[in-house]
Amino acid sequence: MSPAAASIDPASFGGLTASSLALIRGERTLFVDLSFSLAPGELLRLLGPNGSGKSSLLRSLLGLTPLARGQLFAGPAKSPVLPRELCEQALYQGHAHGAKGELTAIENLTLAATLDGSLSADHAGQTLEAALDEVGLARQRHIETRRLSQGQKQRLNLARFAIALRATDRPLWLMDEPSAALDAGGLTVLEALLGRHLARGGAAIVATHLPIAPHQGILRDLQLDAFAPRRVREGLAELAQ
Amino acid sequence: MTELGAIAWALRRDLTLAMRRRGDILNVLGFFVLACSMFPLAIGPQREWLQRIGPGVIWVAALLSVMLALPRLFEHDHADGTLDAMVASGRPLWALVAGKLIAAWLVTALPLLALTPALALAFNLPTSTLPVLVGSLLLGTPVLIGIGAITSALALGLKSGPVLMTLLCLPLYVPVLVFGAGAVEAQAAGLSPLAHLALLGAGMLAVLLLAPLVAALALRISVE
Repeated sequence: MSPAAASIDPASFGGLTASSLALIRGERTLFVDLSFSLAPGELLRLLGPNGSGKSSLLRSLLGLTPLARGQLFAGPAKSPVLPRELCEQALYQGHAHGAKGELTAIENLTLAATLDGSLSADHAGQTLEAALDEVGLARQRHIETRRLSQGQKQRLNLARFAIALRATDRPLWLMDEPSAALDAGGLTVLEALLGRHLARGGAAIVATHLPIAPHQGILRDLQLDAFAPRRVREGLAELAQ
Repeated sequence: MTELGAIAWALRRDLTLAMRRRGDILNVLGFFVLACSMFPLAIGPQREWLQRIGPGVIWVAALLSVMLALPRLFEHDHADGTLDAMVASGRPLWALVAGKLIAAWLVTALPLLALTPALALAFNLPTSTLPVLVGSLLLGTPVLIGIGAITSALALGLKSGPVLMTLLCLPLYVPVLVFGAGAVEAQAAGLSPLAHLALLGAGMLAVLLLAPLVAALALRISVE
């Protein structure tokens, strides 16, 4: 059985509120006036067709992509934060796998978890083994990551989140298509991890095409194409006529 | 994770990766040896000529070898998403970059320095100039790597990135080359190389301080 997750103190993490975000990539406006609020224990599913800005929204929350406008509020007092300040509280899984093909599964996991700060010096070996076991990669631990299948690489990413459950300093999980290439078993692992994270008082934003539904926590959806500026443009065109 | 921890993390990571990709190291070393050893063959065994051009040739070859390795400094990390992960980790990016630069110096420049005495023999350089040659490379190669890191971070992800990097690098490399090769020439001519070496040293200190910060800024722009 998987070890107990370290519970997150609600006094230290008050969720995340975003107010009238807008994002422009090159010539294209992806969304305008996007607001949402995420409380501890909630999972926000970002839905929308390809190119509607799901990945860009996740990246912009961490300052990887600059927001055209909008304001983020976080912390117990809901004080304004810069996207870059959110990085230290967030665990981000990008679209690319973020693993080095030349390194073995366990080496990649060690690097990632050390950078996250979720790997404590004592029992590090046991923690890594347990996490790989939990995501079903126990036998592949010494295989070079480039030899793993897409689904197995995705599971390796999940192992990083499994380790993060033991630490409390990154209560906000941001996952970009974590279900891509996963089989049914992998999806169960993903939902279990998310469920345990929500149950311990964490929050998550997940860009997905699959109906990921953990058993614990509150599930909310954000349909991104609803905030596309087409209507704005059409409205302006009508005014001009 | 402190700043020192971040430097150590990136240093250990890049050294491990370099050990898995030994071909890249050998490629740079092979280029350096080949470029240097072609000159005596092409020019012929006139001692004075070889002694005259030796320091300059070794310096140019070292410079080009370092440039050969630099486009890869951030490229792989950018392509596989680990660079995004580093930026998103919230760790001090300059420290992660500093660790990567130290690793790059250990992997590309240090082997060049180790081979330099053997190549100096091929040019029949007097042994008295050898410490100055190695010393000037010791001070100059961090500058080359630092400047190269900034330019390759700026050019990252662009279609013609390597071309742009070369164009940006070369004018900045000229002073390093002039003072580096100049130090050895001064020593060979019986003058003191200290002025040249002091300028190289000053350049190295400036690059050590600034390169990680500036490259980190450039990376933040490039990952957008």
